[in-house]
Amino acid sequence: MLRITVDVFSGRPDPSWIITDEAEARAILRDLLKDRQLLSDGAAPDASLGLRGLRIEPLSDELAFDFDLSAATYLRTGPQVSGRAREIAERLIGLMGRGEAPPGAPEDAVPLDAGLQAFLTEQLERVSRTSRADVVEAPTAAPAPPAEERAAVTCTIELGAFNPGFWNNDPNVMQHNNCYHYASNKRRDSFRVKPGGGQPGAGCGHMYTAITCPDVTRAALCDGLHHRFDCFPDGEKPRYLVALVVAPGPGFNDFHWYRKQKEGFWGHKPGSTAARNYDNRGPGHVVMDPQTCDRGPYTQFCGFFYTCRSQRIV
Amino acid sequence: MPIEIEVDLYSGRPNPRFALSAAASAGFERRLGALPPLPADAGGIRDGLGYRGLRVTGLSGGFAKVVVSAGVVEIHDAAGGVTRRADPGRALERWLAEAGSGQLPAADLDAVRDDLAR
Repeated sequence: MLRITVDVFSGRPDPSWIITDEAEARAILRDLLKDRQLLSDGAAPDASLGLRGLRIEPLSDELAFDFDLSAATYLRTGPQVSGRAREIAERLIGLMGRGEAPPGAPEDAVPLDAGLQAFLTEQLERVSRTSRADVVEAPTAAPAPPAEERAAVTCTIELGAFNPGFWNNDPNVMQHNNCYHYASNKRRDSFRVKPGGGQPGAGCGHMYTAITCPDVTRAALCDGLHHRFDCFPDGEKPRYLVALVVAPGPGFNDFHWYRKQKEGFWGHKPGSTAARNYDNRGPGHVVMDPQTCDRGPYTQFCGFFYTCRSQRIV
Repeated sequence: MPIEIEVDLYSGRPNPRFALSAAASAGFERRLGALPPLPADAGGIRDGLGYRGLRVTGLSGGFAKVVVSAGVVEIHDAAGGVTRRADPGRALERWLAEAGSGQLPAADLDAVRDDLAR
């Protein structure tokens, strides 16, 4: 058995539950301990109010011995942690519904219900993102926006951690969410199974009618996206920076999207295949700029956009 | 339930699909059973942007799906196990793609034919 305690509150007792499924507990520990650098003794020195991390305690000496664990270990959350750490934290929070309250829990303990799980998930999402000014970085092969545009407008965007496991570990999620779902970071489980699933413009009721840069752009703007440097207010957080490309045909005609990640590279998800951060040359060729990476037949770069909280997507 | 072929082609758009006739289904299962083992140093199925391969579902005999891609055939059973076989000369892939003639949009079939011709 494994006890999980979420280090989140300041005044009231932190939520805690026990994973009683031995197989589940061992699977999580195996995953966690693939990289012991994910673990620490406690919260980061500069950790503030809100979600700081999760304390993980084996409740049997056998479990502690098998995984060479001390009495308790700590998994930090926050903008500085890796996507893997966040993925494991998300998984642990997801197991709350199948866990049991520890015996002798205080009377004022927060109930381990769907509301708490949603709160912790939202906290994890919030602390894993960073907000930063969207400025054009070092020159790339493509021309930068005009100087007057850069000087006049600086928008604040959010960058989420690269979390491929969220999209890839469950076959149902992987198969039924496409590049548009991934770029928007809005899982809908609708691709291939629901009309308009993952299709730009379907959310607003005016899907694209031709797969060209102008028409898919029109459709995405209809869903609520903005062109880059057309800022969204803070109320539309998270505001992700995404890029649209098109395979113009003749013959092979399709669109594809990328999303800028916190780690500095771009993630993407080709259709029902796995989310990844490398281009068409394969692992080892991380996408640092969707304008210049290997995009296979998607030869037309249409532009950069911002997604927003209120974006409509099927 | 007929055997269905999904042409794993796109990223944004849904992939095109077609069904095999009863005769073609029997032909596919016969060809599948006759595939040679895959050499140990063979690569994997295609991944990435562009045409990736053909995904076969609706099979009988405890198979969940079969993926035919660039000379490699992955046979997934219902228990989660995967067996790999070779598709010399991409013959099975070519045969399957042509079985979609008349059902697939011409542009999609041409995209697959172009890849097979490389």
